Amino acid sequence: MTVVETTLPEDGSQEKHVARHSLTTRLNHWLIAASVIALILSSFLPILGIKFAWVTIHWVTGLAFTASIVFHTVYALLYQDWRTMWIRAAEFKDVIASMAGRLEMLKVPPGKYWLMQKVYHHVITLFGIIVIITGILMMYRIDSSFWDRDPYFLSAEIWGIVYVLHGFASLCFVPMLMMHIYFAIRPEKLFYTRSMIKGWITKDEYLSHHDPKVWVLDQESDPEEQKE
Amino acid sequence: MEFLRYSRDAWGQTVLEGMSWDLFWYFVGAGGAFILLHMVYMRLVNQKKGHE
Repeated sequence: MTVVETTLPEDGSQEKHVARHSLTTRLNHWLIAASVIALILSSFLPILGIKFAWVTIHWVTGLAFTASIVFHTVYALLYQDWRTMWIRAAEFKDVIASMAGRLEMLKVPPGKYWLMQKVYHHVITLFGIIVIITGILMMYRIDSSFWDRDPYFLSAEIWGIVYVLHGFASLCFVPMLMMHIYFAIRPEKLFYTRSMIKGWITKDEYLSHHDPKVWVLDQESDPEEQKE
Repeated sequence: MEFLRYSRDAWGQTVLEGMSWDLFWYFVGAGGAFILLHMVYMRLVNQKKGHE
């Protein structure tokens, strides 16, 4: 559930705002975004020939990414409605219409998230889980102030598989990030980007892009306390 | 094009090292191709919308 804020916007317009993302969700999103960009840069720049001491930056950022994802998972399960991310089989008839962003062509009306937004979330979740698990295992191969390295923790064959999985999922993050930024700056999607900064979309944007019967608004309480 | 990297250990055995980093630009290209196709598709969709 999300709320329609009872206050009018600061710009003096009469349009009401629909809260889409709480401050916690937005901060968490931008922390994940910053850590993913730092992880991609710290891993691929040295491969492309830009040499620097990347290992410490990479694993520390990796831990920040892991903590952000754990927080997101717990927060989503406790304070958000996980069903907003659920994909029904019937929705896959709408892949093309969803890509085109045409509400009138959809056979299954969209709730808070459109089909392709949910697909993106689930695909990036899969790659995220892979890089986190393999990344934590790979920390056994480096020394730090907190632990000593143990490269024999796994056999050479298993280490090879761990490195392949980590590398493959990391490579997949590159086009996924490119697509995410592309959609974030497309003119017709800019209001979603604004909602990830300011937290709200307008009532018009809500009605023209979402089915109010599926994404049901709660007219009253505080957005920060509501299940999104 | 190599998909995987291999090396030899102290006993001369072949050891799997990870993904080949030559693939990096293919993944960048895949992302770029998707974006380009989507831009063309959206242009066509918007043109069609304009005619309706």
